[in-house]
Amino acid sequence: MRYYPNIPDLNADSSINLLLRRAKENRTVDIEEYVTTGGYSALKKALTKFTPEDIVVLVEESTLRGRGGAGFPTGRKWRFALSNPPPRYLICNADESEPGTFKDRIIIERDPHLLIEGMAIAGYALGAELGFIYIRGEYPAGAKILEDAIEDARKRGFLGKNILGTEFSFDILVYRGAGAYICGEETALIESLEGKRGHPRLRPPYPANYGLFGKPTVVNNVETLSNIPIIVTYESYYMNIGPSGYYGPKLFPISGKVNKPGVYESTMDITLRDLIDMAGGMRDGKKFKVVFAGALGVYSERDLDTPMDYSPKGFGGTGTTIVLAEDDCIIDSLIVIAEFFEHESCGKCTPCRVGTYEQLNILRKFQQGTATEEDIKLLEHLGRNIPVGSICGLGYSASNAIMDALRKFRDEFYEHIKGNCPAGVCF
Amino acid sequence: MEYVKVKIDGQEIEVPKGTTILEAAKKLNKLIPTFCYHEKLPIFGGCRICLVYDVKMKRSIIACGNYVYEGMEIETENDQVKNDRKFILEMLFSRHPLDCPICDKAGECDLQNWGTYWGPQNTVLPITPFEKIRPEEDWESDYLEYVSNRCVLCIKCVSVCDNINKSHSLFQLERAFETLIAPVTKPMDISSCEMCGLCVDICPVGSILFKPFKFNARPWLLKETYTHCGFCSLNCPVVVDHDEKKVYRIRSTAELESCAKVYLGYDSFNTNRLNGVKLKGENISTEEAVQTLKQLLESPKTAVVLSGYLPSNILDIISEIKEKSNATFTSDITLTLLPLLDGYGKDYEILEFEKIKDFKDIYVIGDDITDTVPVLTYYLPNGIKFIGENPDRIKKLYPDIVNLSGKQIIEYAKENINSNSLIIYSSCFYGEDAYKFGKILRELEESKGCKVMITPPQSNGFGLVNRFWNDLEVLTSVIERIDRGEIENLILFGEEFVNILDEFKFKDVWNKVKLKVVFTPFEDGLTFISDLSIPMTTWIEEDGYFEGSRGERKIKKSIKSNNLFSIILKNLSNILSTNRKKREITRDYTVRDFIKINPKKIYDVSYFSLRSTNLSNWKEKLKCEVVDEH
Repeated sequence: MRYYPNIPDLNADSSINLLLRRAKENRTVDIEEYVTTGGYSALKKALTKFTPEDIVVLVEESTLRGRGGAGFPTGRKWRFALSNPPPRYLICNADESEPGTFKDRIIIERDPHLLIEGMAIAGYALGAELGFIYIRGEYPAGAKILEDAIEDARKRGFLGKNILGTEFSFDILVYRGAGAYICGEETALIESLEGKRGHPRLRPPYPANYGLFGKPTVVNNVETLSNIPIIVTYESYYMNIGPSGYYGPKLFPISGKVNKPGVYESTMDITLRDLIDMAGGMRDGKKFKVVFAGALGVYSERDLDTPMDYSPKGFGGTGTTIVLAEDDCIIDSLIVIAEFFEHESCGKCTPCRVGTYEQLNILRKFQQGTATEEDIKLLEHLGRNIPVGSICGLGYSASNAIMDALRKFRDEFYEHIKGNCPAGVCF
Repeated sequence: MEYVKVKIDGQEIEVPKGTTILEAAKKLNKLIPTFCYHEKLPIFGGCRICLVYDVKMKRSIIACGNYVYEGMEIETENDQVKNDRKFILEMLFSRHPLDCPICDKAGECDLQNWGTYWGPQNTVLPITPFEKIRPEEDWESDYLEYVSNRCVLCIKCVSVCDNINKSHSLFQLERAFETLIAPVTKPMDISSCEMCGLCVDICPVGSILFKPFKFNARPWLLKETYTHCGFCSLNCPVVVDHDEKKVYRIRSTAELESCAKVYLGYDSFNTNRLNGVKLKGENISTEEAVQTLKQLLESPKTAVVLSGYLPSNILDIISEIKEKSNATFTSDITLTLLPLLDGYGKDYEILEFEKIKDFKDIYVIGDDITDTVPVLTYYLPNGIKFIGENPDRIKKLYPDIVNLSGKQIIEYAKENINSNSLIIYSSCFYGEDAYKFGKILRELEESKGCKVMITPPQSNGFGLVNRFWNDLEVLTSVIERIDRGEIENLILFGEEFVNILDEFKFKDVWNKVKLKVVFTPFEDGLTFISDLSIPMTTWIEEDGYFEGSRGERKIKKSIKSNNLFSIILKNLSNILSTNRKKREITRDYTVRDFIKINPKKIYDVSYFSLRSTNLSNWKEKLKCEVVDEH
């Protein structure tokens, strides 16, 4: 029995038992158990029953969207890469580091073979012979678990040369990041994997044309790849899971002032309110105040009926939900978000590098009581302009939460200018 | 080539596919500001100041990093673009210290210029510009200084170090707003840094400064002269910043070609210059000097030692003088370049640097070219092959090293060079060996289809050889004739003569010669021990041209001089009237043991470099490090 330290005991629950089928309990599923509970049957099915093209069509039909935050259709991404000649590479982006996001962690630490099976099938579909898992440096146990799991899979013939006696060969390498949020951005991840400083590349060219070492590359999130065995297993029945157009299971990491913070798996036809209920409702019966969607957006009480899907008005993103109650100050929480962006900006492009820094300084003035109405205008000025000139997603979204908060909680900003914190946190 | 039509501000232009918007706009004379863009560097695209508006995509894109497509419509001056530029400048100016009056870059600062042109003109963010924000980063160098607060993080300095010089001495420390540019090893002076100064020249703001220049001059009060460097045969384009009397710095142009020899070594022009004609320490008139020289040159008992650093226009006059004199002509290059070309053949063809990339295999043979002709390494790819002794800084190109010396190199080269490769030779062989090696080079060209590139350390070695091919006598035989008393007078151009002989032999020869005349730019060397010293102009005081390993390159006068050098030579040429007696010259390239063979280092390649305070200090520092290691 292997022992891995530093694995948190997260709550995990699922109403549909797909992604979290094995990961509900706090233990690492080894290959024996994985195989006896139906594991690697999807890989077998894919290799024997389907051509690579069939699998791409299946993924396209499933309308699977990237679970890393941007929600780009996975099938289309694969199609772009397939239009370029091999060698192609598959990279699994396990560098989840947005505040409040821990959904990939639970798959990596508890059910690593699901990811490995997904990668093997994706590798088959893409004609890739080598896959990489770029796991964040703060998941040391995760990296070890994956390495052990890959070793086990190799021994059983699920990875390596001539998988399951077929022509197809595929192997996976685990690469640990060094603690930069920006390396979760796909081009910066590729640069980091190449051994360079984690700076996002200019696009075009996109990784599907010019990726790792200049070769066509697909970068997919852990959760996205873990969906692949499910799609292959269920084929067209996959379309019965969840609402029209947004099929499939989704993981929602929920934290903050709820009774049972943890990772919850559900279809995407639920609303934000349902999700909070699923996590046991508000802690200590306190009044709900706000939800931070990671660092990307702010949802007030009025938005509790937001659908948790990828529609334009939906919750989207990684599904990260941080619930705050009436005794939390919006400015105080925004400062945490702003500090995160200020610290994690890579420093390549000017608007993001300086903008995130000044944004934080202006927000701090609200907390110190030295802010004026002019500062609200300045925050809006920054929020309008930072995304325009930024290179990557970090810059595009660096002021989202603040702009959202300025729309939805504007009164609270004015209260702070007057020297009054409604939640009693500041001053 | 495929062409695409694009519209920029309503003007239509046809450009090749793969052109960036910035290049296309340049063809229409549009002014688009940039910080991180340089045409010789890979596109970084970080500063975002070059944002323009793509009408079809309805969004702002950067001009430097996006390529044109058919039917593209770009606006470079609409409200959106103006707003974007203003915002970027506002971001760059926030917390940028407004210390322009004491900033060395003021006057040639891009941030200052673009700020005046497009900037916010007022501080939008309520911040005092004196707030110290970023931590300071001490580069621990005597020559380079980094001011963190002024940095706009365009990363051109790191890029130029990685992609042009390739010495990889700089990197980015920390992240985000706290990013700093730092040397990989400290102290910087003894790191892999080559002191080429490109990071200083390319810095768009006053963030990286050259300490010897700091607080010495205001750039707008200096005159700048575009010329070509005369410290080695590459004759790189450089800019001399000077006033009437003094050189303040010599920097690279947009070609990004400069090395420590010129970047640190410029100060040799400023001190101990010889100003008047001196006979045993007393000033004399030019007439007297010309008369003395006339007598000497008419006599067959005189030897003239020419220098490979004399520009071709001066050599032309000396060539005329030669025709009317009976003196013997020689030079230190009769030990190095002349035998090589004698063996190779007179028809050496120049290879353009652009063609280097066409070769699969590149061999560098002989001395480390990062010391003799450093800029050539900027054009070489990684993974070359080096055959020679003591490879030092050339290791930056990750070469395959074959550590051999002397005759072993010749034997090795004969057998082991791949066909169709490029062979780069700078120096290292003397006399017979050079002759033999020249023959082998020719053989390799003819039998294996190789191409040879010869880059001597002297700036005008080819000019000298071309003009005096039939008249140069080998230096060793001239010295033997001095020993035998056949030559009694010596006329020296430059001071290479001192360095080529060992100390005892030099003293011996010097005592045997009756009358010693020296043409030199400096008063602190041979002037002390010569009978007649005449000031010589250098490449910054004379209009003319060099014939180096990249062909003819013009030099332009920047500092005023009294022109005594050319006046005396011209007068001499006019009054000489003897007919030169034909003399058969047999060249015996045997090297005698009194010839001193020093390993060449960048700081003591020429007698100019030896006089530079900057270079000699750097040399001391580097030497100290070697001692520490053992």
